[in-house]
Amino acid sequence: MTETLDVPADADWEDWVDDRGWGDGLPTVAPTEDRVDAMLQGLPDGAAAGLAALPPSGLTPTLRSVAANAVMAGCVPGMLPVLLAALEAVSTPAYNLHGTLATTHPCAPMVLVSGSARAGFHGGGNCFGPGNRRNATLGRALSLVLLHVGGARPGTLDRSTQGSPAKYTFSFAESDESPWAGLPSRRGFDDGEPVVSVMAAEPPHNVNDHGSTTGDGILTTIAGTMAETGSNNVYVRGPHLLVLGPEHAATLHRDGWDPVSIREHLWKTARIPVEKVSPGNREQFVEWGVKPDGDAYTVSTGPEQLHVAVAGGAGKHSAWIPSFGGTELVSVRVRR
Amino acid sequence: MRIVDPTYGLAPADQESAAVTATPTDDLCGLSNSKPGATVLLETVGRRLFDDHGLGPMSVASKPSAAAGATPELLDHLAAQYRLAVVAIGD
Repeated sequence: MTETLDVPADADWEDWVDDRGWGDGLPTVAPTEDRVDAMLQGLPDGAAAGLAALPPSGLTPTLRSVAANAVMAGCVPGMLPVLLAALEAVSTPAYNLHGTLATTHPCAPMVLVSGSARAGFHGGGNCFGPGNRRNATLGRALSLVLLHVGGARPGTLDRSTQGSPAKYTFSFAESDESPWAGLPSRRGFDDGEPVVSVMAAEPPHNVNDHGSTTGDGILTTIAGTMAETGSNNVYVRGPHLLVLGPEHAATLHRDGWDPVSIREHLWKTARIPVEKVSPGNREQFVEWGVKPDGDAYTVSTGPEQLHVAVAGGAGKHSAWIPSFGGTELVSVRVRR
Repeated sequence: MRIVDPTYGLAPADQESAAVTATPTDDLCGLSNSKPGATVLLETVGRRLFDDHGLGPMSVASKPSAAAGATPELLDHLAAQYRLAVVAIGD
C-alpha cells in the first residue's frame, strides 16, 4: 500500500471517488500533493503524537492521510492542529470510538472548540448551522478520517439505523459572550487554553423558552426537555451537553446561577416519571442495571455528566445535546 | 493527477495472537452483541445446528455491553476454545 495514488487523466474526480466508496456523498476537493503539503505547513514537533489505531479497521492514520481528508473536506490550511486534537480525543478509550461508530444509534462525533483554538471558528448565531467554513469542515474532516482510515462505512461497519445530519459535520465554538469561563476551565484546563472537546452526540435538540424571565423558569423548561423517555442516556447513561444561548445564559447569570449550580439543579429536576416509560422498556432498563429513583428515572449517573457551555446568537433558544451514552465528553489541548 | 490516499493507514505490526494458535477443544460458540434480539437468534441457530448437524450444544458469550466492542481478550479466548463461532448482531 502506497501513500499516493494516480488518478487517471480522463477520470471525473467525483465519479472516481464514488467508485471507490469514498466520501460522504457531498463533493470533495481532490487531495493533491500540493494541497496536502499546504495543509501540513506549520505543524509543531510531535504533531503526530496523538495518532492512534482507529477501529474498526485497526489502521493508524498518518499526518499526510489526515491532511488529505482535511483537504477533501474543504478545510483551510492552519486547521490541522485542531483536527488532530479532535482525532486524538475520539481515540481515547473513554470516548469508545468502536462502539460509537458501529452502533445502530445515530450519534456523530461532535467537536466543541474552546479558548484560543476558536480563532476563525464561530460560536455566535446559527453556530450549529451553515455560514462558517471552519465550523462546516472540521467535523466533516473528522468524519472522513473515521470513514476512510477507520473504515466506518455506512451500511457495512457503520450500522446506524437512521443516521443523522450530524454525521456529515458537527462542530462549533464556544461563545465569546458567555458570562462564565469556558467549559475546559471546569475540566482541568486554564481558561483560554486551546482545547477541543468531543462527544458521541445526537444533533442538538432545541429548548425554546420565550416566556420565562427568570433563571428558575428557564431551568424548568430545560429539565423538561432533557427528561426524554427515548434517549440513550436514560439507561446507557453517559454525558449530556447543555448549550445555553447567550440570552438564557445572561438571565441565569443575573439570577446567580453558574454552570456548576445549573448542573446540580438539572440533575435533581430532569427526571422521567416511571409511568411515562413503557413496561417493556422498564425491563430493558433493569437488564442494564438502571432502576428508578423513587417514582422517576434519572438521566445519567450524576451531575458531573451534565456539561454546560454557551454558544449561539440573539434569541431565547438553547440546545440540549444528548449522547450515545456509552461514551464520555473528552477534552484535549490543541498542540500548537 | 497524483493524490495523497485518504484511506492510507499503518497496519498493526503483529495482528496474530498467540492464543489463536492453541488447539480448540469445543465445537461451537455463539457471540452476542448483547442485545435481546441477538440472544433469540443465537438460541434458534444453536438449536438448529445441534438438531440438524450435531454441532454443539452452543455456548454463548457476550460483549461487555451493547455499547462497546468485543475485547481482543474475549475474541482470543473464543478463537482458542472453539472450532466454530456464530456471531449475532440482532438489535
